[in-house]
Amino acid sequence: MREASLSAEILGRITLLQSMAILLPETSSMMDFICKGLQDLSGVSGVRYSFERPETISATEEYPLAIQHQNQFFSTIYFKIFDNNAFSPYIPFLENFATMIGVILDNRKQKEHNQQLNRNLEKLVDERTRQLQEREENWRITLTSIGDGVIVTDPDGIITTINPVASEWLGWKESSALGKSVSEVFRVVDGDSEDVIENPVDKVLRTGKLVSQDNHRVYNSLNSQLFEITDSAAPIHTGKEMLGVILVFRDVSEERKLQDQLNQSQKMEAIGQLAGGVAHDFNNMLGGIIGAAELIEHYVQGNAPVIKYLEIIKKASERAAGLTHKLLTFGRENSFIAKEIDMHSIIKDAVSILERSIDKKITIVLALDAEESFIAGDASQLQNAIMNLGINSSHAMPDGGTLSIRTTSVYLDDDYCNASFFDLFPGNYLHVEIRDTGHGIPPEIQAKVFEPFFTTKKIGKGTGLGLAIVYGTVKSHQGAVSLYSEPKIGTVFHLYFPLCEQHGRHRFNPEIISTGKGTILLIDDEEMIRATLKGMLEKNGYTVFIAADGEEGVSLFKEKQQDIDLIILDMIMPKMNGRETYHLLREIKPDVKVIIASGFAKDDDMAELYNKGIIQFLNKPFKQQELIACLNRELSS
Amino acid sequence: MCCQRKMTNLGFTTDDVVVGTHMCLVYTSEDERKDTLLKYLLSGFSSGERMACFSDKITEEDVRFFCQENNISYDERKKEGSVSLSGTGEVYFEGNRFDPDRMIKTLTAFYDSSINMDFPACRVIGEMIPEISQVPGGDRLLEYECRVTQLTRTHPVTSVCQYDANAFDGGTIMEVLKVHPKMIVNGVVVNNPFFVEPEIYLAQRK
Repeated sequence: MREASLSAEILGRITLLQSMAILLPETSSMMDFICKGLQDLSGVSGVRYSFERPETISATEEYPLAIQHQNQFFSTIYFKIFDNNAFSPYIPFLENFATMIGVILDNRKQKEHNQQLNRNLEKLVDERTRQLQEREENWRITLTSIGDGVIVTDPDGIITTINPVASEWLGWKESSALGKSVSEVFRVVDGDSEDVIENPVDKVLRTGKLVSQDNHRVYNSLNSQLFEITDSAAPIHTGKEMLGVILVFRDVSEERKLQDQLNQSQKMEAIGQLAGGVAHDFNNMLGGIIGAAELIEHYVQGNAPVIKYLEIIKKASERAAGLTHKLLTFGRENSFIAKEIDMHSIIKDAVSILERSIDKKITIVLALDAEESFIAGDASQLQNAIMNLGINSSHAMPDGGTLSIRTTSVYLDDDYCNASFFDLFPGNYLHVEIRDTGHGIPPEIQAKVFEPFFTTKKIGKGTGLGLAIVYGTVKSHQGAVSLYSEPKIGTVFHLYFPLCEQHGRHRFNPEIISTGKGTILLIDDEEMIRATLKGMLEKNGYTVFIAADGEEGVSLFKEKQQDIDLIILDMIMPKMNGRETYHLLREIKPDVKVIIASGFAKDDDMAELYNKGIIQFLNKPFKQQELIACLNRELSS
Repeated sequence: MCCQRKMTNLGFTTDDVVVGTHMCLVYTSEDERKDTLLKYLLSGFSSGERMACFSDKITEEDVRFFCQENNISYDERKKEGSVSLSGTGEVYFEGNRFDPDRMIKTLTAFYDSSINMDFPACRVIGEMIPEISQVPGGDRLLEYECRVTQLTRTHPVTSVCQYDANAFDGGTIMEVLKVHPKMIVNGVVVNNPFFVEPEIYLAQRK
């Protein structure tokens, strides 16, 4: 048996193989490298590898060297031995080598496993992130789509979310509102007293309970105007901890207005029935008194003192009868036989009386522009109504002014009739407009002026029945009456009477409105007007920008003048009036198209603005067809 | 006659090596490859040797920037002929084939001209790419490496051959080891126990 010997060169090779093998990323490539590197080992005629576990082969044929580590098997290297004595001294070195390769492969496997885990984790994180983003996007879309204002706060009442509706209503940009205290952004006051009340969010934070309230008002910080809301605030809980509060509120100004209108209509109806009922009984009683007085007169012929007192009784009773007659007119108890009458003749007659009876400092301007003026009604009641309005107007102009009476033929459409609390049916109407330049009617009493016995005049100066009679007359003629007033500017009453359909003359036909196209900037300080007109315009195909005053309008126009085709401008506005605003708009764009929309405009103002390029004047209140026809005409020109 | 050869520094290892050493570097990452190449060039600039670099993965801009960072003007060195950069394919696969005879002539000429230009020594770094197996003559790669070893006996061009462990299989890498007298392992130049003298290796192949 030969003495076993070790070659330093071969040992160096084994060491180097170990250092180099780690560089090869693929296991099979590494095994090829190792097998080739061990080919020239002493006593070995061939080396191969297998990924199977060691086979039971006689050591004299092939020597198996398992590459494994901690129960992890990787491969087996098989040495074909031709001289076992030469080979066997290397076995311990080869076993060490196999262990080291096993460690390398195990580390690599562990690393790959970790990388796979990382990839799975990243995939999971990506998926969760995507789901979270999707949820956030859904939440954002929901918040954007919802028609109510929504504010979410943290447990300290600091705003963390505000939806676009809340931003618009409160006049706060989202970026400005976020991070602010809710009390600063959502400034809420009592609906009646306008006293500052506890913010619903603070209340929820204090009590931890849901708060649902109405009859509140909040401020729009842009125009400092209050609008009516109903609101509900609820705690956001997760288990025991309160994460914040969600506040949902709704602008109910329009609903309140409609409710007020309905209440007013019902009240007027009730007062009418009451007044009519009382007047009816009272009339009967007066009939008895007057009849009895006349009978007594028959029996006391020649008794001068008694006759004298009887005359007093009769005169007083007749005056009382006149009063009940007026009450009956308001209550529509006073029946009349409807005849086809020409309202223009009635108005002319009334004007001729007014010209003689009212202050000479008042100029009466008559413009009977209606193409048709025949309505079915009672001439004396109608004349009385015109007279009452004329006299009222004259009282509003103690220092003189202008009383204008104008008629036009109009078509009242479904929208208008449905919105009115009078029982109107779509069709042709005579519109009588009675306008004065007096001191106007304060907003807080405008709703009461048609009530019987309501008067602002001194005791003994008026009965408070004048406008009640107008109301009753208009209603009994299936018409409508409304007023528009600006303090210190004047008042305009609009009366609508259905025109006779069977009259045979040319009837006023509704203008067929075709929807339009264009971008309109609407500048008006009245929120209700802005909201109504915006809806009206958008419904008819227009894009609308709105501004609450002249300054905002000018600033908006400066920014978006390329997009804006036409401007609808109110004349009477705080801060900057329509005239001043118009001049600034023209400085930005000299050929800007502007339509003045106002209930009032001084004639000299209008003349100046017409000269400077105002294209149209629309009298408030105007109807949808009137507005759209005007816009279509001006934008197509 | 026996003469003592000069020593030179490779830049990426502290120990000097004999001028004209033929060695291989099996690398696993781009950073390692680039780092070795740039340091090799930098040390060549320092020792005033003439250099040729055959690589598809390094740009003149990379070398210029690296030189600038080390206060060396690449453009000046290029102008005086002390450095040249060429693409691997451009040099090794000229005429779309790999021709060891032409390559040996090129290296011989490079050495001769360097001596004629009074450079104290010259060095080459070349990066081999796996596409060689697709090129006509590509099967003569190991023959070429053997002939480089033979050439350096008479024309001591210090040569570093770079092989990507991710691109060449283990069997090929082992064959490459057999034809390089020295190898670079973990940044250290070591004697290669797998080296087979070129004459023997070429004879075995026949």
